Amino acid sequence: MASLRGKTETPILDSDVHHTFNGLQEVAGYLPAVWREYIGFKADLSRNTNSLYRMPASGFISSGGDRLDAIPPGGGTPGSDPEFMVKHHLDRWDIDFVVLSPGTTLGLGGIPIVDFAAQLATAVNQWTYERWLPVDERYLAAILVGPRDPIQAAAEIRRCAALSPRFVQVTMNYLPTLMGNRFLHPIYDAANEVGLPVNLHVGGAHNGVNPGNSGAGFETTFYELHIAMTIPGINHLLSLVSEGVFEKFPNIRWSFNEFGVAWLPYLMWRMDMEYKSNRRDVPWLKRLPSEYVKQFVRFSTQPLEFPGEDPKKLATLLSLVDAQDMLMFASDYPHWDFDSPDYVIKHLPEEWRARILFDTAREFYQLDRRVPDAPSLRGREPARA
Amino acid sequence: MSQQRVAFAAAELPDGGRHTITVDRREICVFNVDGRLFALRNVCPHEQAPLCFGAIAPTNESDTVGEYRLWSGGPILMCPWHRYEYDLETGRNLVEPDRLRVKVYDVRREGDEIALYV
Repeated sequence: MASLRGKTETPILDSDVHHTFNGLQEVAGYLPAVWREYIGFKADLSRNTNSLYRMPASGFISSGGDRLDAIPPGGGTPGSDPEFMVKHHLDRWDIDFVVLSPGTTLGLGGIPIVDFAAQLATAVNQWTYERWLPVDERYLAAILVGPRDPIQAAAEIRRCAALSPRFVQVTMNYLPTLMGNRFLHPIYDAANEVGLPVNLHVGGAHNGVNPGNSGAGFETTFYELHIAMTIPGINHLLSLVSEGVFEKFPNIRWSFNEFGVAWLPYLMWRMDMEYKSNRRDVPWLKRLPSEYVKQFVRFSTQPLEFPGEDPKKLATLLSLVDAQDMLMFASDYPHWDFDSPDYVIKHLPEEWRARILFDTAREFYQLDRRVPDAPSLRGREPARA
Repeated sequence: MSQQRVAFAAAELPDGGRHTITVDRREICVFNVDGRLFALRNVCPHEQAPLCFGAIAPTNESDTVGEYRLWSGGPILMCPWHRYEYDLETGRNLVEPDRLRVKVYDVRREGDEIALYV
């Protein structure tokens, strides 16, 4: 099959792939008995933990979140068969690494019973370690944590970091506060100590226990929601900057998945502008806010806001803040709004491709230290930023 | 280059006061902060606001994220329009000291006069 990538011979790291299971029963064996019994009584949990924290009045119907062509041959949920994912996604696009983020349990951050959420996170991480990582060396994984109990989350980060270097980042969503808030700092203490990136995945601000995407009211349709859910990314990044998190935890690199990127010029310029006026509120910042973002934060490509009338305009916009050095390719496989590597690079300048598809992620996840024997690293120097 | 001496009566500038004079169409604002004198061009380099209306405002510094401390340096002038902060002594903006800089002038008390060298 013709591939734009062939011209560049660039490896690919896919920074957002969702693996899942066919029902919580699949991870029940990793849970303490009390929570095994608990999920046994919750028939709704068979497929999705969302039913634990969704308000009954939720009007959002996502019509299923998965690609219908990604259903494994033997049936079941897309993303639930590690061997099939290798063939259907990694081999299909000649992908060198994927970072697995647990699809249906990412939302456990929204579960109000924090002890159950913490045990479920541990169960899922252990299942990822035992069921997924051995299947293919190209699989890397995120450590899932529940942000509603930062102390237990920190313990889980330390546990998984010691378990395998292929746990390459921490991931969470459904945050109970803005991301820079001190409530969450025990999580960052642990990540800073073990030198792992922290990822925020889109989603959850609108669900049950949380106050909504906009703070100004609730969306009424999935169309509206699916756009609005990216807006809290602006709030969370702003919070990380203003609370001084980049100064306090200098060993952490940060990634934002699925929040889009076209808003970056707005936020970076506005933060710098406002800093000149209100520096005294955030005297711990030692540099312009945009400089922290450029150094510490990376953004997944999926979904990119290519304008229909001329997709190349997006690159023009992004180049205004050198965002080409802040992007990491992501497909969001097996979700319905999947992007292929070819699609992503098609409308971006050729000289950006190597960094976006691989080299930025190679540095971000410290692959040379974590998986030094990987074939795609051998004899290849990263393209310069 | 020879400097021009411009003077006005010291009574015009009590402690805590400020006085604006025009020299060759340049407006210069002189501040008396607890007996210390400062003079600078009456124009903010950002949007040309009149700095003479700015507050000598307390501001903050920090060595540790999450901890505030009162500014330990010299007095800071806060522009009336966008709150940009300038070190009265150097005229330099606290955030962008190299890019945003207000011209400062030599000013001293000489007998009953405040003398300005421009």
